[in-house]
Amino acid sequence: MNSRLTIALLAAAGVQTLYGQAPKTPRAPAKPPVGARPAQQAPKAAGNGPAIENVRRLAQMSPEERQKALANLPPERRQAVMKRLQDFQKLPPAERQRSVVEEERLQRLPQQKQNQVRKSLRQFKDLPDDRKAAVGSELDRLNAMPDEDRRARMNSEEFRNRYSPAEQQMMSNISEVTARREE
Amino acid sequence: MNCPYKSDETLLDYTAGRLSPDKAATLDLHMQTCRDCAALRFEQTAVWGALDAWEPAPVSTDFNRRLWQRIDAADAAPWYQRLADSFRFGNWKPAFALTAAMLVIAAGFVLDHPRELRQPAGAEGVSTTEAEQVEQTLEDLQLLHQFDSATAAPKQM
Amino acid sequence: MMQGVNTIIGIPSSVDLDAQLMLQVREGDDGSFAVLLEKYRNPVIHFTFRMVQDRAIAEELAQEVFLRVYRSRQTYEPTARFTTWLFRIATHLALNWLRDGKKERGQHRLDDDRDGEMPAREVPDRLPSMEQRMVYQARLQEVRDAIAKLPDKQRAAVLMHKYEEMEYSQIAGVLECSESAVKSLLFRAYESLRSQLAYMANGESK
Repeated sequence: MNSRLTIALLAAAGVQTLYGQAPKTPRAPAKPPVGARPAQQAPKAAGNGPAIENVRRLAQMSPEERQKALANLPPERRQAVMKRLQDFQKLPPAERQRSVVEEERLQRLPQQKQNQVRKSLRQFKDLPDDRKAAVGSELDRLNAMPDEDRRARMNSEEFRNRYSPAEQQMMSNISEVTARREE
Repeated sequence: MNCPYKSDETLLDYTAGRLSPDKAATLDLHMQTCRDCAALRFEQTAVWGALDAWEPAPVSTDFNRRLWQRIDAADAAPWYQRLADSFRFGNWKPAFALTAAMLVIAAGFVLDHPRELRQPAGAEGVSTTEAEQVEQTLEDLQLLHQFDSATAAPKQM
Repeated sequence: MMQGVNTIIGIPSSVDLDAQLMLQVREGDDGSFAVLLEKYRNPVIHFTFRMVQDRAIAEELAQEVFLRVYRSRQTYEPTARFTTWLFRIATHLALNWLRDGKKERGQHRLDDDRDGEMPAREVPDRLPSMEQRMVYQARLQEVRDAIAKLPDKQRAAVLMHKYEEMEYSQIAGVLECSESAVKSLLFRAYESLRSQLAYMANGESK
């Protein structure tokens, strides 16, 4: 009876969390000692993240393999993906690399921020030509500045008078991924 | 006349800008003839604006440091302390009932059946696939490249 | 190269990128946990703050969220999107805290750190006038009151829908209910918010 009660108590002590996790997996290796705790800043990504890696691998596949890999998508979307991949592969290497670096930055943002950046990029595309030129050249200037100078410029009276609040927000969002920085 | 969008989440998605361009265009036309929907759009847009204005306070600068301290302390705690900690923040009622139920079930299994642990419920559906992620990534790359091309001449990153 | 069934890099196609990081945490990589923490710390804290409207409590709840994520690492399985799991934990903790009646302490308090202060991105070059600050604070309080008046689950659904831009299906996964139940929650919640806040569109004050 004592051993049965002990077993029952042990079973209760091993109760799963309340949040829908699956059965235990084999224990992972011991974590690093306390002294090896990472710094509070997120560590630099060594190489491309998973999203870009998936695109790279897709690019290395044969057309038949790509069709299989993308079989989960409806045909129209699958064709659109293949076309975008082909167009991307045709770009000069420097332009491809630049877009990849910006995409990596985008992927590191929280989901809501990512959506805001995407929305702002689409809004920029839809600006009238004269505003697109003005906002574009302002963004060029902002992207080349150090963070502190960029913030000062965006808080200046001249900047706020020249661009609408929507354009200011657009530039703030886009510069999250396009601004020059030490990486 | 009965509005087809009344009590429909389509209107909500429309005012939030989450509809596809085609569907949004359909709603744009509808707004021109339906006063109720036009009024709802006006009011809901005001709600979005009001909610947008609510920015939370900045996060404490020592949040991460305190978290790692708690993680280290929790890792060093004995098993019974870790179990007790799982009842924090009001989890007493469901956790106590769950534990009591499991005690009864475990005791019953031990006494009458081969010992086995119950497995929690299976996986829920997952909405994102790798293929969709690739699709999104390529869309992003296209958007970014279009932006880069639209701005000044090539520059160093 | 492609492995398994319709996968591109050998990981099951249902695993999202954050879940891949969490799998690395499961294997002992604390650096991946730090990446997830940096990415979701603010969204989780902002969510709990808007739920409980008390900064100190919000941070304490958020700490508990990440502590539970870390403690669960060795048994982690990507049965859902990482954010669904993360916000499920956050929502449970916040709803428990609210249910236990502690909300009365903080409900009508202005945030200590922002007393009289406008959000950074709205600060004009010239300091806001006293009148502007008062109008801003009054409106902010009305928004907070309107959200606080919502039943707890409606509040959670609105916050995830509006500020995390979650789809109905994901909110359903967090709240562990059906999609139609989520739509019903949101429909009633936004109806309530419109009745209290829509006047702001006209630049009026109550």
